Amino acid sequence: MKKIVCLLLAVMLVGTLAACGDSGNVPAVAETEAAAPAAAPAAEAAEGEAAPAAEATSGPVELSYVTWRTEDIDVLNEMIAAFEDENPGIKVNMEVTSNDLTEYYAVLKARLLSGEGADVFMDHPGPYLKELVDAGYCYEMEPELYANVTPGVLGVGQVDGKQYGLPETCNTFVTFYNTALFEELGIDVPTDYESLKVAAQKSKDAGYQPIAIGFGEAWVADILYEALLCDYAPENPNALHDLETGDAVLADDLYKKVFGDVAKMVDDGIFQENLTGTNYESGISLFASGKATMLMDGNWTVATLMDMNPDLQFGAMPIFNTAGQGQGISAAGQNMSIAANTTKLDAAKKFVEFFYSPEGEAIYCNATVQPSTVQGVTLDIPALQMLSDVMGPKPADWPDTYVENSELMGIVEDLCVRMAEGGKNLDEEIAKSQTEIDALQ
Amino acid sequence: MIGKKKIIDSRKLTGYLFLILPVLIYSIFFIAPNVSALYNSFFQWNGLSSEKPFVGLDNFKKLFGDRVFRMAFVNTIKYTVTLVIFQTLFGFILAILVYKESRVHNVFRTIYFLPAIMATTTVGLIWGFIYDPNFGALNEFLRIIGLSALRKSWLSDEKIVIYAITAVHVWIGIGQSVVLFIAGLQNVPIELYESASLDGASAWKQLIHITIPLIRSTTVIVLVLTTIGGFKAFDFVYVMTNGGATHTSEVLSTLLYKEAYAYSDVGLSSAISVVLLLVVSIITFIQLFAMRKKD
Repeated sequence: MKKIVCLLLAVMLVGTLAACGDSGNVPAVAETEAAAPAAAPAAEAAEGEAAPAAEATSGPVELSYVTWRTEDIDVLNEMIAAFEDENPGIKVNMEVTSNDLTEYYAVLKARLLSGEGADVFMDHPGPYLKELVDAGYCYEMEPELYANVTPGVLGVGQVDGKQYGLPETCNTFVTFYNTALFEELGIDVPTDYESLKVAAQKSKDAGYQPIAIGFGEAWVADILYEALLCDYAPENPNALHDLETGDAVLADDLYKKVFGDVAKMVDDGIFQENLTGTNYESGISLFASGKATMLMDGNWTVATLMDMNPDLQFGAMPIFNTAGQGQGISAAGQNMSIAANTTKLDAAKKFVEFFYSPEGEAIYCNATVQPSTVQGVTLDIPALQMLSDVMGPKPADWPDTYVENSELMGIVEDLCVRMAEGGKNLDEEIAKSQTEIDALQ
Repeated sequence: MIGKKKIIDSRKLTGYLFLILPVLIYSIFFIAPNVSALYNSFFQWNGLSSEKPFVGLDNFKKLFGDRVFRMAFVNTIKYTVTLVIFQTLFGFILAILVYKESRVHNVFRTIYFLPAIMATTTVGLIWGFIYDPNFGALNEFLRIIGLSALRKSWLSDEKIVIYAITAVHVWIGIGQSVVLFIAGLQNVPIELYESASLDGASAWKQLIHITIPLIRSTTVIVLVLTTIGGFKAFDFVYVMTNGGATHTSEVLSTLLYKEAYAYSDVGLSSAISVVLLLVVSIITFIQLFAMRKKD
């Protein structure tokens, strides 16, 4: 009798294990091969016409939406509620990972491979979107879906001329400055690099940190060196893509100027102490708390700054190179894409249409204080006008939008941060990084 | 006789049946991923595409020529050696102090073990704040006690970052070592200490000639577990620095994670995991061989 009971218990445990196996947990790297067959139908669908997806016909449709934007949770929930009110047969389940993009793409790929949990998702232009498109995971969008989007920004969501993603906002990169502290310390708003050095020195003399920037995280380096690339070569958005194709090398004049500038800026003391030991959030905190008089960052930080310190008064200026040039910059931000293997295509399209309607976009951009990519959107936030003034009438295009291999970004970010550590020989560091770029080709 | 044989066979069968579940779990969650990683290491694959060309040993050749891999390998060795030394040593010292049964000792055992039950991610985040050069409690504490000169960028200074992270791991892991050593110490017959005392042996001599030799097997277990833990280190490095902006605190685990998920190079990532498996296996074998009892 005892043996029978024990055997029954063992069978129940095995059965429980089998039931738990479908929990949708992120599989380990080694297990992704087992899920690869799920990619095949998606790939086949992408090669020919868009395969019609099976649509649930009864009960509310549950749509999964994946994003990394933790700072937008409140407004996204508000938009989802508004969308569900207009579409009572659709329920949107939003999954927000951390801001760590490695983690985000790990989760997203697992969802796409499994065919569940990512009907609509966010992605970045450049190598990220291309990889997903090449693997057949992005739905090619019909023109009706992006009828409202400003035509000039659609390119960042295209691969081989086809539209797979719709840019959500337009980013720009600036140096914010604390207007109250500038007035208190008698600092004039810098108009070139020399006056920026003066501003930095006056800040330090008064016991403040000058420009805060979180170089403890490699991706933050993009803000500086790509801005410098735009300053030196505003007509060349392929400045990074040329490195991966071999049409340019780091030893070329342009890149030596850019990374030489990084080293010079550090030597001139325009950044805060512990530059490479400060992570991204700490950099923002330094500025928001009034410990630093300036902050080098992207426009998406405006909402965060206003949240962290509602009394903070700040302005914005271009990021200057040491030659005194400060180019306005435009970078279409993250894309929204539809999964090619979604079984809820109609619902996904409705969600995208809502998001990219003037009404939907107005809710999002007003709350997050970001410029819109949709025509006819009314935004009435002074901070956006300030950013628009810095961008100017002819902003330069952000180079990493055109990169195809994310490893190149890692290599160049690494070079920038090494130069920011100070005391490095530019030619030696460039040679190290060029060896790594050559290995990619 | 026939009846007795039937009972024996039926017992064996029952035993084997109960083994099915753990073998199944072990095969699915440990053996299968390792075999899959070995297989994938011979291919170039981004983890998504149906295209998966065979590249032979190219991934391994690429690894050994890669500067970042070499940095990660050296960091992993530094991390492991530091962890093994300090977690074993401090674990042993604390165990010696509290292994005897008493209410006070029980309280201290609980205190020493408390960090071990904390979530590693939470601990990593908290220590990340403590080490923050601008807002962190450590630099602020040094400033308050007049040691401003000792303030550092703990998680970016390439000379100290790996040790700063290992210190957190030691703090968390000490509890495990203490528990294992206590179990070993309590198995040493008390009569040996009594007769040694009668013979005039000092506490130090008793430690060297009685305690340490008799807890040899426990020490082996602590060393092996700590070594494996060091080579597998991921949580603290990932949470506190993510390997560092210039890979100054990159270890093999974080590198293989990035290769798979940031750079979509599952083949290279699998090659790193194979190298890691081989290194850990070899070192563990060497440890067990060196510490075996010589009759």
